[in-house]
Amino acid sequence: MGLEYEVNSDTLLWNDFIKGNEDAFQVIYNKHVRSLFKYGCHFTPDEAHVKDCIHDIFIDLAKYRSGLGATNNIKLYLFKSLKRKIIKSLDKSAIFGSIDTEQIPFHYAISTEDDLLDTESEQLRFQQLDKAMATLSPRQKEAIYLKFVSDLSYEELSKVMELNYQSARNLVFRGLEKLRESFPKNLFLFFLRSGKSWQVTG
Amino acid sequence: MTPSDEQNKVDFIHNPHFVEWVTKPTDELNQFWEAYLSENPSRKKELDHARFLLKGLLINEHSLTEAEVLALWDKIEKTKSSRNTKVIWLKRWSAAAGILLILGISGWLMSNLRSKTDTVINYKSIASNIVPGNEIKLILSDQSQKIFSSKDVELKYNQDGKLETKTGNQVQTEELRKSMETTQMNQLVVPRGKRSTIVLADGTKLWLNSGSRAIYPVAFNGKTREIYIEGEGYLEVAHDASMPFYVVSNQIKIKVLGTKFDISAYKEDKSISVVLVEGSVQATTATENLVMKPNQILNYEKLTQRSTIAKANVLEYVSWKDGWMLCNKEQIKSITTKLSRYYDVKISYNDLNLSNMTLTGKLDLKSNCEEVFKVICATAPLKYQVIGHEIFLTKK
Repeated sequence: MGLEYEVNSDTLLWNDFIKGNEDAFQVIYNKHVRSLFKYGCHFTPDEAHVKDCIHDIFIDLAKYRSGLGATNNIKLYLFKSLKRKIIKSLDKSAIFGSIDTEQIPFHYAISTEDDLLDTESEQLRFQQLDKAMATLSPRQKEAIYLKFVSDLSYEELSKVMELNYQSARNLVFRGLEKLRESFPKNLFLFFLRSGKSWQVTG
Repeated sequence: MTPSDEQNKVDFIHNPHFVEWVTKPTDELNQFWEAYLSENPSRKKELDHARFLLKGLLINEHSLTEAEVLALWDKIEKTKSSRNTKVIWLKRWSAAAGILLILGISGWLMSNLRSKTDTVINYKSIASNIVPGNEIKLILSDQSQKIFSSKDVELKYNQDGKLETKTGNQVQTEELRKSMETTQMNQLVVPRGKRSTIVLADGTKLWLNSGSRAIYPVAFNGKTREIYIEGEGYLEVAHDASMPFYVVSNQIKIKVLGTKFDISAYKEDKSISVVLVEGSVQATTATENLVMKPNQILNYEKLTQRSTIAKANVLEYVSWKDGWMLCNKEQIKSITTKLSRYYDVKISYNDLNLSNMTLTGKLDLKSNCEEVFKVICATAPLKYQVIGHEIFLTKK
């Protein structure tokens, strides 16, 4: 359909959407649904439930569109909405009380059976990394995820996680530090060449 | 570990260039980072750690398939429209009441209707009402259908509201009924194995290839001209600088001034292509805005939402409209996909290596399907066999 939007024109896109432009609505969906789904699946392994929540936030958007305020960052808006929607749905009692943000789970396991792993030694290293990941707090995991997988800035991730800027940075840096402890002392070198890895022992 | 080591590792993983290399390696990025390493051998270890860490963070992601993305969107649309039904019905009723009871406010009604035509047309929902059958179907704005059993049909919309229909040597002219709606949309659905041409009210000529459909207004009024195409169409757009012409398809919109070009946007194909013969067009997708020059082809990958523009021998892409198919080192796979649409036959081969074999030559599509395969098999080391509605290709 008529997709007359440049990549970084969130303000315009959002304004068109608020004014009732259905194309704008579809562009927003297409641009963000994949990363929203990935993010949502870290709160619950139930993929169908994550889809339902995404469905609900887009229906809410359509329903309240004329009353929505301006935004220049649609991704941030959607990430916040989805997180709120999933958490509320996982813990019905939270609707009435405040949620203890520290208690919200964030599943982040590093698969070691992935086809993408090229060698056995690489598999071993990922197993170590997975063990280190398990020692992180849910919020450290979420911060690292939002920074490196969702590609949010510290400013954005502090807003999604409702923290101040410095606390958000700290979560990422301390989390990374713990992950690095899993690295082996002896050195393996990997290089990427045309998408495949080859290995040198040294 | 020294503090500077510490800082260095943080640097890599926070470097967007580095992240791009790990997530989407290209030859260029590989070269850059290999050169970087040979200049800074002391940082090999840090780089390796950062790369490995990032790779670990990115694997094992749950992903939506494209089918799931579409299914979820359909569900959202459905919920949304079921919520809206009541409102639309009320609007319709009030409009009808206005005509019946209070002629005095027709000025208000007219302005209401005008604003209605400004809203974006939901082509997908118009298209979804009509399932392609075995014959060419024309759906008029009052939803009445005309069925043509011929191989092709030529439609011509005149500015005075008449429609000429030509099948073989027979020409029929009829007056299109005027309705209250300012924009009357017609839809032409061409099944596999058939073709059609339409001359629109502004003189623009559209060739529709097999397995395609077009949705277009009977007359153009407003600031722009807009039509919708699914499948493949070749257009010669009548020049009118004051009324830009738009071709809308799923995921791509093309703006033209006066030009000749081909668009191939089949639902089942992984990419959409636009080939420009003459003039200038601007293609807009969800993520890009590209201007094309003559003798170029634009390829838009639906999955990655990325486009590339390359030089093209345009005749190869547009000769179908004149009943020819030009192949220049074209893969059997791509030739058989086109032929199977054109003749509505199933084509299979038992040897996968065959599908990558390339052919060069000119095929006469005016002859029947079997003759075309005779020609192919005379030049290529292939044999064909017809079993029912299916053609089997094997190596000689």
